[in-house]
Amino acid sequence: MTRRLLIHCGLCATDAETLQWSLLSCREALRRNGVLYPVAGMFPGHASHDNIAFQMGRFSGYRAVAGDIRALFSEIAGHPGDVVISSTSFEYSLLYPERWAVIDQLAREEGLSVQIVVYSRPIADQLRASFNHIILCAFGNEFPQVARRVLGAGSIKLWDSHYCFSLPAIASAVARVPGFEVNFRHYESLVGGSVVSDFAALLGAGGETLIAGGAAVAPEPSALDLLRSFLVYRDVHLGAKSEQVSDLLALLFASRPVYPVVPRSLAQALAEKYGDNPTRPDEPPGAGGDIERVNMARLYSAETLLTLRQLLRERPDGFKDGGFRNSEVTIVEKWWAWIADLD
Amino acid sequence: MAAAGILYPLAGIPSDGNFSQHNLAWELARDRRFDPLHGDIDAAFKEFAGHPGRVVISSEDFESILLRPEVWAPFVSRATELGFRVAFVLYARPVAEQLESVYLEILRSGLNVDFSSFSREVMETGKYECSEWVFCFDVAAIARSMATVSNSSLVFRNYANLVGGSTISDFGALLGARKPLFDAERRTNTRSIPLEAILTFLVKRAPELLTADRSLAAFLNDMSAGRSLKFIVPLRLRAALQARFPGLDSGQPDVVVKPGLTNMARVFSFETQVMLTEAFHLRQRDGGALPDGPGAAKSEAIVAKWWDWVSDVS
Repeated sequence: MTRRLLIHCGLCATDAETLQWSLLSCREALRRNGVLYPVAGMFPGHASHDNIAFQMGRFSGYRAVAGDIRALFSEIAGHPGDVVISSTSFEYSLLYPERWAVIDQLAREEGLSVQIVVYSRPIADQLRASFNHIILCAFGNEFPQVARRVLGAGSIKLWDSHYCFSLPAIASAVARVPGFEVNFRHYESLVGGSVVSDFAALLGAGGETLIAGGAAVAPEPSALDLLRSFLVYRDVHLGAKSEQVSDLLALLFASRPVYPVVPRSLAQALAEKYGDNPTRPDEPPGAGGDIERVNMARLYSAETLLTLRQLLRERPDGFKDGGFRNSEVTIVEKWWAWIADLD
Repeated sequence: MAAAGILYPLAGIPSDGNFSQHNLAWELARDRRFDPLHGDIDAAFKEFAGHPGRVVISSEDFESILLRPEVWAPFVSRATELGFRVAFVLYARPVAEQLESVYLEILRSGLNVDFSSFSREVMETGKYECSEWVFCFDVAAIARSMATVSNSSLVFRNYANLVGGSTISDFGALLGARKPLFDAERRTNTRSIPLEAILTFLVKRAPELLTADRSLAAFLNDMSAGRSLKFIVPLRLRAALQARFPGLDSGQPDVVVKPGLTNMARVFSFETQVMLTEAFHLRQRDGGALPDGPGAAKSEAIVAKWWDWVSDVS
């Protein structure tokens, strides 16, 4: 039977880190069961092969000291079973078949067949989760701009990062690499209910050890943390006032926890473009009745930045002394009503 | 200009040393730098409204919305209601020159992409997008886009063939001035000098290379001693760009290949990052400036190979 090289590529925000830590922590047990999770290409303190993805994509983050593609295949050489490598940064090369040529050649020399593994989720969910990632990566782009590009081009490129939303485009690009096949896994119909158990099923006989040693899923960052990052990365001057920003956000959200959702009209347009089911309600995970859904396209927008910047300017000494003043209440209430409109 | 009946408004000019109405462009483009304190579009129209003659506004950041006519429509409509006829004026240059210039500019502004990724996106889409910035390289696409803005016209000026040899005199001619409108000190964009651009590229891609003793800068200076360094877009790419975006003719002869030209696609590349980082580290291990150890010899060999490689401009 042909040995496989499984390349797990994300997508972004599909519990990839959980899977990677599970694979690394179960490395020895997996090896005893014939599955190799190499260490070449990993940065210290990480469980993924980011340096391999960086080298393939010619990204700035590449550092020779972390191990390159040659080192990876030296480690793989002679291993009798399947091999797994994983990095969400492989996603950024999915639309560039030429970048996979070296892996293709070395895998052939090693007698490995290559399978690209892609976990995807409903498109509005994926946009929401990818945008959260984009915020944390300090790009500071507003949501409407990102959404417009996703609707138009089916992907969004920010520096080296190229987030893919069109599965047919991925399939078409990967198909141009001879010998590669792509295995799409849907995040909402996973074997065993999690990416770890699903990937274990994909591994077959060696996979059971993975389920036993699976890592816990990391919690999603809070809307408040994301909004703080958005504001500070978008307006460099707010970085110096991060304490005031935090105080303002704490005051705004103290009694009104929120869950940002993709606006309905956009969800509908995305569903039409990508063939998803648009009627699925976008609910907060483990939702209680007290969490208010707000419009992402308005929360993470130029208008929100301007509104909050106006409040910060009116209060250079900060917001530690309790509630909003009368002059501020009107601004705040108008903004709340605006972001609460989910259409 | 005021004496000639032309208003150059103050609304929209950011206060920190700027002299153009960037804030209006930023408002239209939803650019993160927009700040109502600098004067917004409402303020600008108030200033226009009281002026009986022509009005000029200027910002290179208007480029970001040249492919979005829907953004312009309300602006033009408002100007038309005040009795203005709107003309958009664009200075365009041969696309390879523009590519070189824009790349060095965005490098200086903090972007760390390699030249090949940058030029590939331009070849594929006719533009390069970065945050809220959109750099347009396809003048035909601009013309198609702006042609859909009602009650406006679009004027292209050829940067390679300017009246009086500068944009200042050319713009004066466009305004119909019989004598020079601008006698102020001529300001031109300063371009990065080549070594600084390479240093910036390396440090943006690998920030750990920037040390307090500026040893990387010294290393680059040493390795370039006695060499000339003039960037050029590789010839095949120049030809491909010209074929894809015929745009405006430079009116100048083709590039003459001569010693000292260096291939931008190779200088600002992943390979340069890898090779020069390794050469730099090897020399650092040998004690920095004294090139007498085995590491220094290896470092020199890498640098020599790099020079050969970047000198191929085909």
